[in-house]
Amino acid sequence: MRVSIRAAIAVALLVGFYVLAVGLIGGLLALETFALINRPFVGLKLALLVVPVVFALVKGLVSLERRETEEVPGTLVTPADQPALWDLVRRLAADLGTRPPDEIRILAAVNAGVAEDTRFLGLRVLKRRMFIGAPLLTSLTEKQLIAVLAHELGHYANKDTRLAGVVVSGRAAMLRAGSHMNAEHWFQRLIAKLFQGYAKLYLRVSQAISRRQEFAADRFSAQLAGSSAASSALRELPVIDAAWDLFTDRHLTVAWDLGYLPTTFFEGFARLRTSPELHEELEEIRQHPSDPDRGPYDSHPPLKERIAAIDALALEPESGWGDRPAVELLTDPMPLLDSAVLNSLKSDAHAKQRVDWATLSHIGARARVVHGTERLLNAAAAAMNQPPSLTTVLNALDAGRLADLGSYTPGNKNAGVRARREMARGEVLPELSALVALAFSDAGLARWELDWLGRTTFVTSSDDFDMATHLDTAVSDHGSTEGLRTALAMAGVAPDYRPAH
Amino acid sequence: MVLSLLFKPKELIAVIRLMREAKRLGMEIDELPPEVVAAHVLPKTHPERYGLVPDADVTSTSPIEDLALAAVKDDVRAGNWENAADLVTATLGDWDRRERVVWALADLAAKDDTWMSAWQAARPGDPHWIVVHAKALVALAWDIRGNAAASETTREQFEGFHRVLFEAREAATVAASVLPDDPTPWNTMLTLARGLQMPHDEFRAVWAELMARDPLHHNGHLQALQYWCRKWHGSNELALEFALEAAAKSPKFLAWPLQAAYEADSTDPEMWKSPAVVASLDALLDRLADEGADTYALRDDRGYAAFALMQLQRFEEAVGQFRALGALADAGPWDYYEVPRLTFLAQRGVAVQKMAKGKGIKAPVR
Repeated sequence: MRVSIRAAIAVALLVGFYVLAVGLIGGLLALETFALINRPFVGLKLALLVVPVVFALVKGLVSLERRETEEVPGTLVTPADQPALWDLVRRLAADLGTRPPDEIRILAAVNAGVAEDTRFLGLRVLKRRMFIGAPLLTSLTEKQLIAVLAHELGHYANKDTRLAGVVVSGRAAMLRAGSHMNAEHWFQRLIAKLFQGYAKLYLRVSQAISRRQEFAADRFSAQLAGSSAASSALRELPVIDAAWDLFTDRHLTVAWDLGYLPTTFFEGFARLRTSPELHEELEEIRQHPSDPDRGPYDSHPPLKERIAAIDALALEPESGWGDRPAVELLTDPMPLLDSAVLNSLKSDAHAKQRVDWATLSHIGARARVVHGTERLLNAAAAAMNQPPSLTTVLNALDAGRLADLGSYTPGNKNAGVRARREMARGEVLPELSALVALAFSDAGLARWELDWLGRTTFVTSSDDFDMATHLDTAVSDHGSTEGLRTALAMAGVAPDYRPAH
Repeated sequence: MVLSLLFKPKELIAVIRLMREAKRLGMEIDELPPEVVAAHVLPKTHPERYGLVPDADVTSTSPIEDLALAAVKDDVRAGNWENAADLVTATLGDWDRRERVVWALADLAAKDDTWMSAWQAARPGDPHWIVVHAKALVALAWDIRGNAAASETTREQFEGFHRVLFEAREAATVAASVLPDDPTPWNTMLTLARGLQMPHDEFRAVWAELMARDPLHHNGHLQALQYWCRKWHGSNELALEFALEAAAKSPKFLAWPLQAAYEADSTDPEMWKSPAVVASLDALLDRLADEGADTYALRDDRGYAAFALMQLQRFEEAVGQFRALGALADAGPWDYYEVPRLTFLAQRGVAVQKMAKGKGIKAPVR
């Protein structure tokens, strides 16, 4: 089927959606009015059915029109703030023959896009916004960024299929169909099902158009940025995505619960991107790009097909685009990018204390270790009826209470006290080791370091802190805590040491 | 399971009776005590008519076989270790008995090792202490792991199991070096080979050390047979091959091929009928004809013989073995089951019923 015919059908379906709903409402109201006039009693009974149905239908229609009232995400940049970026976007829009966006917003996500505020299922556009992910700005070259942005603008530039732009906007609206309905109420549930059934039909009809749109947008991307920049940008997206996930999960928020954030964000992200320990992993992703899960109604063709199609075009870039890092398009980029990230975090992000990356890693790692020693401290306190402290743990060991410090039960129901003691040894040793490490660290003699893969190492200032033998002796059957106590005293650890939170 | 019961009227009646009984006692059918279940489902026979002891007399408690061992076990429980230490020392050279003594004391030490510490403190460097210690660590490891399936065993139980088995291997290595002639530490290593998933080559090397010290080590052969089983690190075929080689070495190992067939029962029930297994069974029956049932080892042989005879429909001969076993259901294969006595009685009942109805193969005239 030709795209234009399909698009016409899709648009007809969009319009039909309103015709169907409004027709139903009108018909029902007419029937009700007729009944009330001619047979008032039947009319009243009929009203019991008609009123809820009309109510549900109206509510369904409203759900299509009503946008989520949430704030538009991202940090707004004006042409005055970032003239070079705006010039680039306007030039791209002009080259593609489409309207430039009304707003540009920087997101803290590995994503870019153009979105429109629409009415009447995308048939009328109120505002066009371009979103650009901050990690893309710091990780792509200018040409690669152009490829990404040209793709997004290209969705609205397809002159051959004028209707297709409407079709794509319509998909977003259709996915919202029935979302405001009350699932508890069976009438509304029924109407929601009806709407959603219609929406599925629409999505299916428009799927092929959408796929074609993606390839068409890729073609625009290759025409402007050249095939090699366009396909390398597609290869780079999963790499940036993986790095960004690692960055936000293991680094940026590592001490969030304790009230800390790093002083700089993108300086750390840049170091992570170029760290030798990550090189191999990221290269692996670059060589074998895989698709992210975008849900069942996503219209993107597989990444590998898109890359192959772009490479097959073998297009040269338009002249005038540079190979410099995209971030050089920005005036004073770091404050802007960092604030985009800060704005994307929960509202209390501004209240966090800002520390350098090394301190942040140490605080995050230390908190996890503290958490892992609480059980032992409490078990020792209970066994000895003393306040929970390192000394209480050592006292319990010297008193032969090892078995009482454990929490695990052996597999054999008839096992004796020796089996319990042996299991406790396996449980207590790493916890005691962590407790001693904390004592050294809090005495300023050691610290935790985090590499960019997210692995922690305990670093001491000299080899004198090798406690392995002392620890083994402390938990062994005819052992003693004397060696450990001496070493702790020499390090200046207070006898009642207990890690602070 | 419920559906299949519909086609077995007798079992259905038994289940209905059990449900009634459970209701009367106010508990679930699964919670009924084994003895109550037994009263309803065991075959109703008249054992005394066939020269068998009454059901009520059958027990899974072993009579005391080694008076000296029983005495030192009591001493140890009372906190006195000296006699136990002396007995272990005295068994040097009598390897099968030494194995039994060391194992029994190791089981006690795995529960509570206070007496072991006292022994070590009073006689530092006693080579016999470390022999018991190594074996005790194996028992301790299994107490930590338990016998549940891997899926029901916790990570901590597995960790403890492996950690203690490695310690046991170290201790056994020390014991082997201080008592170079003693096969017992080498058998300890064979025993922990299963838990540590020792590779075949390494296992064969340990086996060779044991064989160099006692080629007819009774427990060593049992441990190796387990290792070669399918459920551990071998296969049905490897286990049978090993068992047949052992049986060829000595008539006292004639029951090993039956044990291999028993271990293969769930995956290869046809193994019972293989000529090699049947030949071993017949040779074993010949040997047992001149022997009683007064040792655990003999009852073990007779138990596996009885089980094998049942598989081969030789009920009359099976009843003969049950007659010889008398009241003792303490050995294999019954000791594999949760309530050995009931397994013994169930098998014995079926053997009597089938024989009484003239089913199966008649006993040959010997």
